[in-house]
Amino acid sequence: MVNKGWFNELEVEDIVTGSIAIQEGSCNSPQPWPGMAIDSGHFITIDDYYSNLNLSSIKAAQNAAFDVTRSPDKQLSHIVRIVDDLHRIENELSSRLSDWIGDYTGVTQDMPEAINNISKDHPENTFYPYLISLHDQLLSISKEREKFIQLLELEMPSVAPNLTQMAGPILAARLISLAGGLEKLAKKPSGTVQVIGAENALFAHLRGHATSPKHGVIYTHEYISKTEKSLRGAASRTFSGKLAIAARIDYYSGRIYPTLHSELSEKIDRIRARGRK
Amino acid sequence: MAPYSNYKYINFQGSIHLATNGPPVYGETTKDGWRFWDYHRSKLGYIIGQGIEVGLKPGSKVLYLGAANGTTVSHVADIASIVYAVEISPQPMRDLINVASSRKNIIPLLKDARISKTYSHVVESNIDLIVQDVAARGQVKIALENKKFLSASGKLFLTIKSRSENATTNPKIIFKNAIDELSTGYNILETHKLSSHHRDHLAIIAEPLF
Repeated sequence: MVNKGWFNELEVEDIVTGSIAIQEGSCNSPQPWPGMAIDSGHFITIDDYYSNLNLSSIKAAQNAAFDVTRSPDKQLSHIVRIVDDLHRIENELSSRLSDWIGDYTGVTQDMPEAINNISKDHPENTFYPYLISLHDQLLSISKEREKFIQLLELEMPSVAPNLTQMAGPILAARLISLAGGLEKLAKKPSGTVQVIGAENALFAHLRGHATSPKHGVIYTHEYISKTEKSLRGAASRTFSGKLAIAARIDYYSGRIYPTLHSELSEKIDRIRARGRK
Repeated sequence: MAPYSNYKYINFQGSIHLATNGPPVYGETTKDGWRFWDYHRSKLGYIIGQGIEVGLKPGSKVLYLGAANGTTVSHVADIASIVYAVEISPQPMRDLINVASSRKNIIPLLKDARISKTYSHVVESNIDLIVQDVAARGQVKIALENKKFLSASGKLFLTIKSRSENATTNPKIIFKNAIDELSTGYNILETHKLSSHHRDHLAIIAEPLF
């Protein structure tokens, strides 16, 4: 094989050709490229060589980085995180607000009633407009979160049809996000998929402090959470096994496999039936 | 203790600290254009700051594996003539690109250091120093894979993070295995524990066996 440097196809003052060659080219063994590039007449001086290489490599790195950060996987990860962030903020503010109202009224009430009753029963409360305003913000955060969930529901079937059908759009997106992309998820064994999101528990187990975790984020699916506690381990193994297969089909083929989903629901039914004997 | 004009030790607030000369990058303290090399953020800086010779000189050609945001790379580029900076992850690459835009002698490469043929058409042969700071499994394999870039008198500065190899095995065992495996392709010159600044890290200085 002839060893070709990144500059071989280069024209004068050209950054684009070099950047493509840097991104896509390869070579088995390094050569004294700067000297070769000058001998072949591609550059007059060493400084010219390095200055063109600096600009071309910056362009190549920018393009290659965009290929990764603009991929559908990465967009999904951001959406999942936004949904989580909004949920967390909503919960924090909501509990802060009801704590405050509860302290004032002396009764513990849930949110819409608490805010309605304080105006009725405590007209002397001068903070009322602020409470109302904060409550309105909470409602709009909640609406915002709903919008992003709808966006996931819209986008997920085209990214990972089988995984979405099996796990629902949010859990499917969460698994892809935590795995670092659909490709990485597709390459994980089902035992790893089973404990994605339970890394702390897993490492405690590996250090010998604890029992092995039964499930990670897949717990949020009703196949696990609505299965009797003693059977959740079995349900998690079965579910994660099929999830791993679904991820592989989505990554390598992209077609829907209806039998995969019916098989899973039959298996889960059989596991649950064990508890009812 | 100031062997080269590109870096020197300056007295700052009562303590002697290593600094290099160049445009600031990461909000580091500067004094008359001299940038203090933060030992907590840089294993290489910490080692050179101890007065240990790693083979980084003016005019050196450096291959930096695991360049990350380019904080250490920027100091290396203040001293060396050219730095090929390999980083696999696109997020830190954005910062590294900014550093490379302010320093013409940095060549950023968004590549996997485990697959050297993807950048062998760019990185020249006869490199004087490989700096490797990759927090991933198989750190010694990467050092062996990249040996071909080094000149006969070149050196390897490798930091092994034991937690990256295996989170549950005793670091001592991991370090011993790493040194044994590295010895198949390198002659180990020195090892240094980095425990005071970087937990469970070992720095290795080695020269290639041909």
